[in-house]
Amino acid sequence: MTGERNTPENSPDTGDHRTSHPCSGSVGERVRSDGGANSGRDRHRILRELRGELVRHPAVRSVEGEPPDEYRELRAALDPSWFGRDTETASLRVTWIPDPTPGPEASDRANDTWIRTPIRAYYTFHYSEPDGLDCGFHCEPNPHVDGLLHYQKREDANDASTYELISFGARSVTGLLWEMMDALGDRLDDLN
Amino acid sequence: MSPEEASNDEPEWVGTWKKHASAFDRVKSVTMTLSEPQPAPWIAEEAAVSPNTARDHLHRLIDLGVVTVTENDGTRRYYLDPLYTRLRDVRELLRGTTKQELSEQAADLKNDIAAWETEYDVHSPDVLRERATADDVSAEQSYEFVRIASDWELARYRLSLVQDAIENYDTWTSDPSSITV
Repeated sequence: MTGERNTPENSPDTGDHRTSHPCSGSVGERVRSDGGANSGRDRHRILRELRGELVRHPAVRSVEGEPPDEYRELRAALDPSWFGRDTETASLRVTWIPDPTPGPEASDRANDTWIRTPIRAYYTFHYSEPDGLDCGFHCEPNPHVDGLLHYQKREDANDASTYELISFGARSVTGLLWEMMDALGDRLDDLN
Repeated sequence: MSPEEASNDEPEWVGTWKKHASAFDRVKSVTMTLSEPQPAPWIAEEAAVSPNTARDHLHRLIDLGVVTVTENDGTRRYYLDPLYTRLRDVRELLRGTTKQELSEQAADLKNDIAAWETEYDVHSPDVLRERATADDVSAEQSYEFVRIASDWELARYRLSLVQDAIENYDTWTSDPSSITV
């Protein structure tokens, strides 16, 4: 989170406030005063960059920001045959919240919250097939797991999901994306 | 990590990444997703290139106005230039979008913000994040508040981009070079 805000807490937040405050000297603060929050800018920046990285991956047919005007998440169409899957289509949903403040650790809700990944963010990376299989990596609070980072899987829409604690070593966001794509391939391989 | 050749002890995913993205692209994408400025050796390790290769590419990115560098305690740290990302985002909005469509986007974003104000009875995502820390808030509720606060901050940012695009629409669409970054 940024330490400063340009919108008073008790005034309507329509975005129109942005011209009523003088810009400060640095580029970063000028941008912040336009954007309202670094967190929003960073989420947009990271999702946009992840879209570009996903396009490079051979299993990805196309990627779009959703909804197109707001870009809250990414939706990718995958080539399931790249993972050895016998189905025509598959999709990948990617979400990213770069600033988990205050985060569960603030209220001591989990002890090993960030131990299994060096990247502090809430994210999901979820694969789905139309006939029911869905599985993915989630770094977010879930009542079924301790801490945040886990793998969850459901082979059929009527099945209950299973959960497993996992860890990732990448320290960069793009590195993490490639690490997760690789790990997804391994998981799907186990199901084949 | 060794330069561009494959290393026996590098994870398999690094090999896949190196096969499908050039050293320059890896350095750029690592830098574009940083959450704080980092020195060249850190970026080099994450992008699977040598420190000298990372420095060369980072200097290219500085020349292009994509990356900035700061020096503190004798260490140079690199970070993306926020002005670059902002102008790039505005330019993307202007591409193939009419002024009317931009106005509709602005209205939708304002509606989203107004809906959050009403539903959560707060006028800022900051307050929602503060509420997430309250003792009587469950873990599930806390996560929901943080998630909505982030959506709200994202909407604010998108709205500021759309407003910039609308205000400068005529100038920037008649003379695209005025926004080239």
